[in-house]
Amino acid sequence: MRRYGRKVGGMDELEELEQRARRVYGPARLSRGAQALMWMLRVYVIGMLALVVFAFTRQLG
Amino acid sequence: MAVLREASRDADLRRLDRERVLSVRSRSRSPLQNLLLFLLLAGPGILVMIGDNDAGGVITYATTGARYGVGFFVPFLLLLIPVAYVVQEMTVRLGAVSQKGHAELIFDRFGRFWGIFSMVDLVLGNCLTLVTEFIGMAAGLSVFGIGLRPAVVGSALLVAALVSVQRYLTAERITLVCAAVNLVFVPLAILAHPAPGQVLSALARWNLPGGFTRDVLFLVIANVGTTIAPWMLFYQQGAVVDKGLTPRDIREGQQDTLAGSLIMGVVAVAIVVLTGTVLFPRHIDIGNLSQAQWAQTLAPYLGPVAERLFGLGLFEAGLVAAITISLSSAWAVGEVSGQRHSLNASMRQAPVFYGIYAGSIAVAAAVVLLPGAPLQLITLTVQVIATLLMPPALLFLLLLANDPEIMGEHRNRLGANLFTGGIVAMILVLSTLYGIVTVFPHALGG
Repeated sequence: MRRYGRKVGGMDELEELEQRARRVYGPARLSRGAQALMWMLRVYVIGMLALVVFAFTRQLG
Repeated sequence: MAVLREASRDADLRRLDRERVLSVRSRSRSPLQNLLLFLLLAGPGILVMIGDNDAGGVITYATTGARYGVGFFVPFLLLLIPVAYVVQEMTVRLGAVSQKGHAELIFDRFGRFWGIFSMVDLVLGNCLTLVTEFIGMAAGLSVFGIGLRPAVVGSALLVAALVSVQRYLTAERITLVCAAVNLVFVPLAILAHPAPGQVLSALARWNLPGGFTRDVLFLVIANVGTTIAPWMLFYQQGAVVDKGLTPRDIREGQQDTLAGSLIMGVVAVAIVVLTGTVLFPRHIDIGNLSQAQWAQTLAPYLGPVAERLFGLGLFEAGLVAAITISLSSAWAVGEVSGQRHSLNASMRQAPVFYGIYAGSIAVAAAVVLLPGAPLQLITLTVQVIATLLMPPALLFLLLLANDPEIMGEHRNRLGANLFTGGIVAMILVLSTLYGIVTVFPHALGG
């Protein structure tokens, strides 16, 4: 099999990409601001889901 | 080309594609070489944006023009071009740098709940959106005298046939050729003989006759929802990874996204100008027009050629959207389930990926052919799901694009953060308003 790709910084570009693709990222370490945003998101999703359930219940009723 | 071994088929094909890119890169940087490089690397950005001008989008723009003319919405749609660009550009950097799809990164960084929530919401919303694409394709083909059943079955086979090439680049190029038909709305708008002064005056004055009512809110949300949709994030990032774009290709990826945003904006404006010129001044009642009736409504004023062009445009809009939307589902499920997910993989290598693609097409086509299917409920549910998913998807995008561990030197700059933060806030407000107005229809006094 031919090896394609150019050496970039001493490393085959495609090998570098495959390394990136293989990398497993753990859970993100969120800043306080990001944590606050995540809480807002939870409130938003729960609120919207409640609205949807309410709307469908009313439709069925 | 070297004989492809089954086990490494996708990796080998990617290497082959990279060789082409590197060969062009290694030559002198003349304008011609730059163009060649752009043509080689462009695709995901243009396709995602044209896919976004889907059958539902065409009807949304047509309704907008017919109801409100060019006054408010032409400038509004032009404003949405940078919005679409800024949002989608982040997926280029994320994909090129991480070599992972959007669903996989959400799963990895924000945990199982948000990963599964995003994927289920996306796949469900995509399946239902696909139903509307098949309705659009059938409506487009009906202009040429093709009945519902052969139109839907034929369209489904066409959409499925595209991935049977099992080669990313070939599938992308074929879809790009189909997508070029989206531009048909531009000559259609010119055929309508719009008054240039009226369009320019709309840009200068930007007023809304009748004020900001509930109907206008719905159209604003529909237009925003048509411009940026959750599946677009998953599609473009997945396509960037599958195409094998690297951090060195980010600039071309950005140009590709910019080109796509401009095409999307021009086509959207063309449709609004078309119906805003032909239907709005005549106060034609577009109340509950079906998709097929739109082309017929234009025919008396623009002739049979225009009717056929509109039909062709509607068919193309549904076709390209069906391909891109199904691919976004297939990539997302493959990423989260840890199964192989590449258009360069063979069907034997990636059964889940191809299964999701074919399955969602089959289900959507079957629903359209089902007698008495609740199509209105489906359309409403699509909007509700998209509304639910959009703020989380945008917020995750923003957090990921700022993640130093993933993005390193390619993380967002302050300007992009401020702009995207504003967009997230706007979407959040519009989505909440939309949710409230859907449940309490008289909340805005309409």
